[in-house]
Amino acid sequence: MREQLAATLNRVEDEMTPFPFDPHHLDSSQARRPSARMYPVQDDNVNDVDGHPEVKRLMSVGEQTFIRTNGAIEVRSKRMPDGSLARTDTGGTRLFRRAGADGRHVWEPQETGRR
Amino acid sequence: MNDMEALKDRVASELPGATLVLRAPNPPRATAAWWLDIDHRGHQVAVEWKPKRGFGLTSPAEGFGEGADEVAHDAESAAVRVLQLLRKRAYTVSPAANALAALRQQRRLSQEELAAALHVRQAAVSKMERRADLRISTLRKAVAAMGGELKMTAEFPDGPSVPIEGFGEPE
Repeated sequence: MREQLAATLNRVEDEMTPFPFDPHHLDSSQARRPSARMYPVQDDNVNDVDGHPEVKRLMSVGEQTFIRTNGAIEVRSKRMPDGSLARTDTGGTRLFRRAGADGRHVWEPQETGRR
Repeated sequence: MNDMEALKDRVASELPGATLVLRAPNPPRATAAWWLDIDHRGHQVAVEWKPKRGFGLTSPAEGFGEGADEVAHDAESAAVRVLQLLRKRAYTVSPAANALAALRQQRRLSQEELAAALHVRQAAVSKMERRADLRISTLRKAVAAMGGELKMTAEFPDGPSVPIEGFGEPE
């Protein structure tokens, strides 16, 4: 799933922006520097989610993306609907979600999932 | 206490009332990123810290998959810049910022002010300013909202200049 997201983002950046891919941005040994190009979330920004062993949290500047092992995906803003900063991971506005291959969303418990 | 925790404590100390949300790597990893999201009276800054790589600062704190607008290589310069952004309600400048951003800054307008004139949200102006290319109609509206008028001219080394009209104008 992450590979698909990364490949899609890289292709969009290649085709829609004039900024070339710079592999230094993916190398954790390099000092960081700003870039005009968007890069896929790397391993150093992928985290576990307590209480949800099937879910990984990908961090970015304004959003958090949650991906479940069934392929479900949910993107949440770090802000609440009134624009204030959400204090919890799931407190921000949900911007997008798609169910996984088994019909369950990211936070949907196994026992109540759709068939 | 690491550099990010120290930054959080310093901001909390100097700006009482600010909301600070610190996210540590889970599970802990030596090189993984820490995030500090700060809201001070509605003005927000996102800070990403990767040990040995430095701090990334972005305000407004929005965007997916985008790198930081600015980089601070040590804790002191990061703290100074974060406090400045919050106190002055200032924005970082994206390395992708285009001529529209430069023009707005030259006219001494904030993104909010330009957004109000265009009847869009501040986030829309932020996105406009990060685009590598803009529709002529969008640029024309933005310039008009700043009180100006967009004029285009095609110039040729071996002939007279030709004004270009009719593109991006209201029908």
